[in-house]
Amino acid sequence: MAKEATKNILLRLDPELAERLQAIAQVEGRSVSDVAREAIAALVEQRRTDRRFSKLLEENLVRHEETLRRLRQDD
Amino acid sequence: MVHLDLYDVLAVAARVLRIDAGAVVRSTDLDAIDRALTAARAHNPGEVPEAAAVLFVGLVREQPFERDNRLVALAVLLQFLGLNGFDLRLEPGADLDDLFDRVADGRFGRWEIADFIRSVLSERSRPVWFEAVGDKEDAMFELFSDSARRAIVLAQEEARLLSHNYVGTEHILLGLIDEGGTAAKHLAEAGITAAAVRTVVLEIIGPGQTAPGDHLPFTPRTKRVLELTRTQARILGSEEFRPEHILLGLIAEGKGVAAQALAKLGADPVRLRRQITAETDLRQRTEDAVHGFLTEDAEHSGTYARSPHIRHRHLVTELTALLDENERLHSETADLREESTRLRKEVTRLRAKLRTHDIDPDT
Repeated sequence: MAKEATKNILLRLDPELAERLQAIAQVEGRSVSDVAREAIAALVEQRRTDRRFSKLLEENLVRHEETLRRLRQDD
Repeated sequence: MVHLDLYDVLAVAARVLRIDAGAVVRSTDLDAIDRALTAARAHNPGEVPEAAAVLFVGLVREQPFERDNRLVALAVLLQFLGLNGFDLRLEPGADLDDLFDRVADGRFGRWEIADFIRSVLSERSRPVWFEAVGDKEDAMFELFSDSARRAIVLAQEEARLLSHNYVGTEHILLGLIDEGGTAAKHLAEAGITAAAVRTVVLEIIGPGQTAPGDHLPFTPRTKRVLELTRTQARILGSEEFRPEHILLGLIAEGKGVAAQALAKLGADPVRLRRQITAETDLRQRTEDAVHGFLTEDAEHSGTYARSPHIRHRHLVTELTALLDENERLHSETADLREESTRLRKEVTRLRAKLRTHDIDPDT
């Protein structure tokens, strides 16, 4: 079961990034968590466009398609 | 061992759940993923099945995703194993329900899952990131940190983007910037951006004429940079080779296209080297001190014996913030010293000028 959006996001970020996010949040008048989530989403998108990463992922999904499909149906 | 990070796990989830990056971040319990990843990272290096099992058990029990948690957990497990050069020999359509049920209700823990993984583990031809390098370099890259390995893979991507069929020092420089860590920070402070480097590289050597093949070899100069990376890391007392050590290797090599690009963009290699060395040395000493403190603390009181890794991370994070502030203040002091020297020289020049007009500057 998914929980609500995470709290204390800054604990997972390195201090430089945290500082930058705090500055952006102040300037834009948004919460640091919102800005952090946006930053995390950008990094996730970066991974998704990483050729090697996505190639491996697609290979895995194809190779184990039937097993994974079964889990999708059962979950 | 190559570990996944939060963004890797979320990228796998987004693909499997067929949602975009923003949606997966909003709908996922990020703390739960962080706990599973931290536990896996804390495991002994080199034991891929055990680390994989810890990560898998963490994800199955925490259920951090909005739906299809079992499906995502298996996809993440396969991605982790794949990045480390392994795969699972699963029968097509294998029924894993019982396995998942046992993990979820606690009948199976990390040891049982590690045994299961070992029983169906198969080796891929080589870890995916090793495709960026040749066989001879494999042994050395074992000592590279995850971020340094990522920088090398990104360097290969940069070479492909420029249609170059080799990985030169210029691509290594771009990989370091793309990686976004400490080396990138120092380069950014020196005004070096990926876009500017690409422009200079295209001016110097232009784009390639043919589409590069699957394997991009390192140029002899890049191999030299990687040897120098090892030297620089050892000089700074680090067992692990990090992106900043690669940057120091690039600076030490000093003759490749990367060095030319840095010079053209106005970076001062001596200053850059001094900044990286000062910070790296400080960080290494701080981490050693924190590690020593924690070991001693755990031995004497046992208070934090159960979570030294977590406490270590928090302490290092706090100290890193202090070090950064310290570094900023030092840098301001250095600038003031430079300005003071300039003003002193100006006063001397003006005094000399007054004397040429027979005016005593002291009366």
